[in-house]
Amino acid sequence: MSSELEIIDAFIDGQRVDGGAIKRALADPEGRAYLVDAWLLREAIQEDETRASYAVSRPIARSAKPAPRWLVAAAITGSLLGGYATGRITGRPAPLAVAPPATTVVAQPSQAFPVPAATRVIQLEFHASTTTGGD
Amino acid sequence: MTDVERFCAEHHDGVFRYLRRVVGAAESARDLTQEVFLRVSRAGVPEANDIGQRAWLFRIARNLALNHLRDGRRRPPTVTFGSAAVPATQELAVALSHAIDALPDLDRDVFLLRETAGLSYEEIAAASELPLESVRSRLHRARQALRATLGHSLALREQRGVRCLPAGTRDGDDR
Repeated sequence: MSSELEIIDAFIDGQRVDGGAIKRALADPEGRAYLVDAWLLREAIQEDETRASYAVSRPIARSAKPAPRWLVAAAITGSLLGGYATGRITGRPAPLAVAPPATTVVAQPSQAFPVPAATRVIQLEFHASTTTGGD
Repeated sequence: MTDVERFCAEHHDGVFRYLRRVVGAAESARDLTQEVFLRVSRAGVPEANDIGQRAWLFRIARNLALNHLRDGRRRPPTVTFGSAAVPATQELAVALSHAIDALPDLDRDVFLLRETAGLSYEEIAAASELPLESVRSRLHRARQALRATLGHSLALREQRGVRCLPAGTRDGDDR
């Protein structure tokens, strides 16, 4: 039976088959059931492909010819001129950047902590000693 | 449009569909698809008939996909569209993804080259470097396995009717 079913395979796959052989294969109920199932399988696969092709977006096809060079150059020049003109009309000259001071002012200690007034004044006097040691 | 560009445009969707099924994630499949066509543009399309060219293209895609899976030691993640509550219309799609993942590697590859990329038996044989008879038997074994796994879902679907479709297209393609 398997070889008869292979005849059906060949038939549904567009191969040239012997007319008598396909008649004999389809005379059997199993052969007819196989033929129908093979077509159902094929249809299921093709429907699945269609569903998948909708689910998966295809990449956008690029233009075969790149944009001409003169068009690219014109676009760049236009952008530069437009930017310049806009700046001239609406803009003010940018102030010169002033660098921040490199040093920082630190408060003097006297200013930060005022010295209290003296309560006593001790005066130190130095005298040369005349005594000598020993007898 | 050059020959390479025409070739890439013609086969882009087929390569992407195949790679998405093999590696599981759409982002990885997109990256790999770009890599495939980058190689094509570098190497140029070989002088051959259509069968030879498509087999060559899918051999590149297949090798890149296998390297991708091998390098990352990744199992292809199952492509699911929902978690706990799966709508009835998607039940078969989820079951199908699981069933395809469960196939032996070579059987799965042959099946996907046929059903997602639409390659002929000769092209599959050339792309996967298998004898033609092996392609036939693996394809049949894969279909039988999927049929056994998805029997109930297929029976439910049969009630909606059946259509005869060529392989390697998407539902709604005008082919």
